[in-house]
Amino acid sequence: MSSQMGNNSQVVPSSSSHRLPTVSASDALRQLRDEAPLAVSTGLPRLDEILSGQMVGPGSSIVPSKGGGLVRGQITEIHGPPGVGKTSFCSALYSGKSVVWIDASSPMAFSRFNQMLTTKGNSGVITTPKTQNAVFPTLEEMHSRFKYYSAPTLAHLLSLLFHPPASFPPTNTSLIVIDSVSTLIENAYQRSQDHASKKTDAAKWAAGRKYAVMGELMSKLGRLAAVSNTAILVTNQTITKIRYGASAQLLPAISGAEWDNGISSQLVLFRDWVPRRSTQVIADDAEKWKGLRYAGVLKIKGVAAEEDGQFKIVVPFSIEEEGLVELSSSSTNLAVPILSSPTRPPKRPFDEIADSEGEEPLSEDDYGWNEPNDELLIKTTDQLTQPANVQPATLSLAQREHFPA
Amino acid sequence: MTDLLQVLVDFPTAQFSHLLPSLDKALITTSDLLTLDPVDVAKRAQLPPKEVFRLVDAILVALRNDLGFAEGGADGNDGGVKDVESNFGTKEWRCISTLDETIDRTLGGGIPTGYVTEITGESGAGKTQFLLTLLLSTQLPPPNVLASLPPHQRPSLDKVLSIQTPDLEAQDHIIRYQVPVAIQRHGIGLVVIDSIASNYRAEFERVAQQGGNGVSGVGGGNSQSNAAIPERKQGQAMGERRTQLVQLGAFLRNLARTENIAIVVSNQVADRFSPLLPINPPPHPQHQPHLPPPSTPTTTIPIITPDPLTLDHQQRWFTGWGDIPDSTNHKTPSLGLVWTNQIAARIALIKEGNTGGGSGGDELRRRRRWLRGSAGERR
Repeated sequence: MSSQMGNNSQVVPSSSSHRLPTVSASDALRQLRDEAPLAVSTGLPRLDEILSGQMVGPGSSIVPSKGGGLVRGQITEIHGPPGVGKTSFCSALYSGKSVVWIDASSPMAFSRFNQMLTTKGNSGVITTPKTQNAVFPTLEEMHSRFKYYSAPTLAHLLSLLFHPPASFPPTNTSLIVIDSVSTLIENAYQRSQDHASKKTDAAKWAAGRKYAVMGELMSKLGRLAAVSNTAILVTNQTITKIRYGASAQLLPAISGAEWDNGISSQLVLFRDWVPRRSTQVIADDAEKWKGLRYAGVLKIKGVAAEEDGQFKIVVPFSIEEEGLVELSSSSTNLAVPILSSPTRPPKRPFDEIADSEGEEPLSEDDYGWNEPNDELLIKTTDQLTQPANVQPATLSLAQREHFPA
Repeated sequence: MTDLLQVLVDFPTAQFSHLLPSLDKALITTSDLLTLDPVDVAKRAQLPPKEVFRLVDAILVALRNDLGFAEGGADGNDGGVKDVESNFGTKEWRCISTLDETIDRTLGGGIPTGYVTEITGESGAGKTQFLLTLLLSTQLPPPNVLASLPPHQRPSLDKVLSIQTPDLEAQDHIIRYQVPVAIQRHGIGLVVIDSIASNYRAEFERVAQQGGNGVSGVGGGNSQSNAAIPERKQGQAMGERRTQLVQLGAFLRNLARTENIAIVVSNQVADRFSPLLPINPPPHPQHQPHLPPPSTPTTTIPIITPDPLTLDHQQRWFTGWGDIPDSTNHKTPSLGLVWTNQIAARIALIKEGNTGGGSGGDELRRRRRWLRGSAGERR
């Protein structure tokens, strides 16, 4: 029966009208393979390949998608310190289809965006032979495909996603950018100070709402991505967390079990010194190296790309007038560089470490926030640090209860 | 309701005034109203479900208007698109000139309107001077030619409205309530806050210090009971400051965006403590592996600082100090990463040169750093 159906690829009409038509599994699989969604290019060929799962070694379960870049139907998150180029990264994405941009913090710099578009169009930087053989569209055409919304508060974003107007998302949307989601959530849910003493029922309920809303937001985004077959990119700012015996680490400002599970690909952008290079670098290239950034890949298509708290895939790039430019002296050979040790904190450190008793509590960590879910400690000032090779350790508020000061 | 008027400033609360106190008491926020089933909300706040439905509908209409969807338009695709076209293609990039061509060019025209920009630098680096220039320059009509203007049209400090903010509470009140009114009444184009940090530093660092003094015996009889508290107190103060900074940042961004004005704040700096041996030393020439010339098909492994994702390392690039490998005497703008996350751009004024000679003729080197905006980052 099923093979017959597979051959004819017929859809058996279901008995009652309110049901979805029955599709056999083999059919569905073939359809999935043939109509694999085109990805949204980041403008960095290597990163595109990595994100689409083509760079992963043999034996991996990741199915590569056609074209490179952000996978449609999934959620990608990028985070990084301020000024690293999160917004520019988003602006440089190119899909050839409609784009929805939801601004949550400062308005988008339209002139910069236009500049990027025009230089791109003129120089023909965008060469996505697999996906595009049409001529590059004009600025007006591109504007008409670009929908811009400004969401000053979390409620605005929620209303857009939970009660979408008829025209949202526009048909043929391939990409939705939310820049930056952490601004909204941090502003909507402040850490309250005085609830420890008089915790009413309502207060307890309200304290849990942040994570409930975040979880619902994530599931809504996931559904939106899947149903409308769009790539969703959210940016996230960073906060710091004190590590025992080492300097403060930057972490995404919004995280949590549900949140992290909803995100299928995760990137971190960061900056570093320009590597001293041999002399034959062209002057023009050297100028680009000055604006060096790295995009580290933490998660690809739902598979964590980090091992032992380290991530090994980084793509150097710089932000130029026309968008992102990959920096690699020999980009012909695309091997994944293995880095010595860019230690990344374990993903949900407190879940695992909260009960370990081998560490001493840091009294200076005591920030007086007794919220049980408050998992990230913030410290904005510098701290005097010990050498970095001390084993990094993390502490949670829960631990302090084991070690009263 | 706790945050409805912050979310929707113009929301007509009058017809829902009988609901709001109950929602307030149950600590139900606008986000909850949008994400939860109105029936659940009604149960929790002990209100008639029908009324809650009505409120949610009204909120949705208002939110959609804010987002640019024309509600009630017969064909739904009309709303969002129209608004986008009206502000996307035609929206000009308005800037306030710094009256210096080089700086203007680097900034992409000057200080942009619609954004919160920060000027930071050591005391004496010229922050206030820079801000005064902006105050005058914003009054100039477009061609920016001072000499051709008749005297009564020339920029003058008379047209600068100055408000003192003696303490944090007053500052907060003035920014929140008086400034928006003044902007609308006087046609303000530029809001300058000089300096954003001073009140925060004065008040929160004092709290922290009071805690510290308690231990050293200044507090007399109280000192013993306080002994366990200071760190906690300091932590609490920092947490509170963080909350306030996030709120202030959101408010200023919103103000800049809705009124399309430039908001420029100045910020003080503090010394940055760094370990004697840099944790992340820049790669030295003798250590670096020989990189193959670009033609060879081997892979270049980028040399990355070990542990690059630390605040200490990354802040070299977003504070304005430290991104030149061998430089010393680093400063850090006050208010930390939390505040840096709030602003759109930071311009660091750096005083350099022979400081031994005297105070006057120091060479000012200005570096600017866009966190977000038109120019990427150049110097």
